[in-house]
Amino acid sequence: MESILQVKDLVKQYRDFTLDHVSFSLPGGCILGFIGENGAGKTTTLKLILNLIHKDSGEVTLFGMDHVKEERHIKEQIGVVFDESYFHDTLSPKDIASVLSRVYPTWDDGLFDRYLNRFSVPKDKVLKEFSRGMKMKLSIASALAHKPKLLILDEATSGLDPVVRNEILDVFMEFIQDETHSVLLSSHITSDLERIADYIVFLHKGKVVFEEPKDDLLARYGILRCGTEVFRRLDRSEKVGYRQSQFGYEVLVKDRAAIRRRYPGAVVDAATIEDIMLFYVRGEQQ
Amino acid sequence: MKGLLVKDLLVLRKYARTMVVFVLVYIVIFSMLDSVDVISGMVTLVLAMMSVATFSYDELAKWDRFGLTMPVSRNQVVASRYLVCLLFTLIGGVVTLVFRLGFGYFRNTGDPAESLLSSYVILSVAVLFLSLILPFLYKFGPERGRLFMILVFLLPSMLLLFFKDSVFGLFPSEETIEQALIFILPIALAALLLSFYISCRIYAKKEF
Repeated sequence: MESILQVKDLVKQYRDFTLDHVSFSLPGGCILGFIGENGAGKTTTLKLILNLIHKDSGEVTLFGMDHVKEERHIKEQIGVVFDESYFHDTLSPKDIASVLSRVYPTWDDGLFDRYLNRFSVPKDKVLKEFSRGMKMKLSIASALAHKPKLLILDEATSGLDPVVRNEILDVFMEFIQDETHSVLLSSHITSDLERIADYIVFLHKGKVVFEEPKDDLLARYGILRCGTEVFRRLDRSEKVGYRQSQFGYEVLVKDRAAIRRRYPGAVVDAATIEDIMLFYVRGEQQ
Repeated sequence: MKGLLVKDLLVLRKYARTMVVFVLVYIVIFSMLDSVDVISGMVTLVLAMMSVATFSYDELAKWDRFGLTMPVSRNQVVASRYLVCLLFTLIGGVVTLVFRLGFGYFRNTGDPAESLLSSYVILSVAVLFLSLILPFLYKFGPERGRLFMILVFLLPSMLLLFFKDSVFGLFPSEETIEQALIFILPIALAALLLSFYISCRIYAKKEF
């Protein structure tokens, strides 16, 4: 399948942080989840893709076009939602529609209204009176109303209650039913990603730790609970990270089936995305 | 780009209402005081300032970060801001002209040609002022940019005040000045063009 977004060796250097040769790609009809601790470079990567900040080197192509040379063309087909709403407090959703309908040739007023209705966002109230959740829903409605092919969301679901989040995740799932649509979302609510993402890209300190299909991750990784004896016998390559407690060791392993075969009787549970992230980040201090 | 213009106008909506009241109050006060020149300058400048307020509003909302995810180029963002500023300055100029002509007509003072000339000059000065201030607003943001704005006004007036005795002798005759004044608008427009170019350069390098 042709990729909607392709990032290759993206580099951006700051005094105290470097985004270091980040590469990944996003096929059509898929949701790619971006995970990583605060300051891992998720937002920086998204901003670089959008050319809000300028890359030092690397290549970004969207829909097969260069993200700087064909910037306007590309941006007509992207909807973006950040962690906050960047609309002026004195505007109402109606005002926003009259601005955006003049910006996007593909803007659909009816669609915008349908999303507002669905999210129960009032059309005539000014944003000053909106709650955080309402602003977020408005941002998502405005990002969808020009019928984009790619949605880029930066922490768009954080700070929302589970009911609203679920509603929004459902919208994303509907959105990618069309094979030409994709979603790139960063979130530290890993359970959300577990629910909807097809691929997971894990960023840590500005580097991509892995880029994997979510189902593979969940099927392969495991947490081995064992005593000192087994732990000592484990090969370095087998353990990604571990946690020591008074009852023994918890070890994140890359291939839980293999571990089960090699250590019959060992307790190996499936690992969640959150486990994987935590062990990777914390485990390196071993 | 039309969308960006609409956005600025919508954002200024409320502010504009306050400004209209403000301008009306000024007109009443200064009509009573008979100082037509002061009020003409005031109204034009107040309107020019209004466009500057769009920078503050945008910064408050962090608009640019979202604005630049839309299919508009950075140059277009700058261009639309310049257009909004020019639009308000023009409105200011027209309002003052109408006011001056009306004032002269009812009081039977002043000569329409003179009103026309002074509106022309005030408008040009406002455009010059915009050309100066806008690149600074782009470079330093509305907070520090505003400080600079005060300097733009204050420094020339102070200098003039301090050195008025020595300077006034150097001034050419009134006729020469009046003739030279015809060129002020072309000069102002050229300055605006240069200013636009500089602002585009500054904005292109910005990161959000």
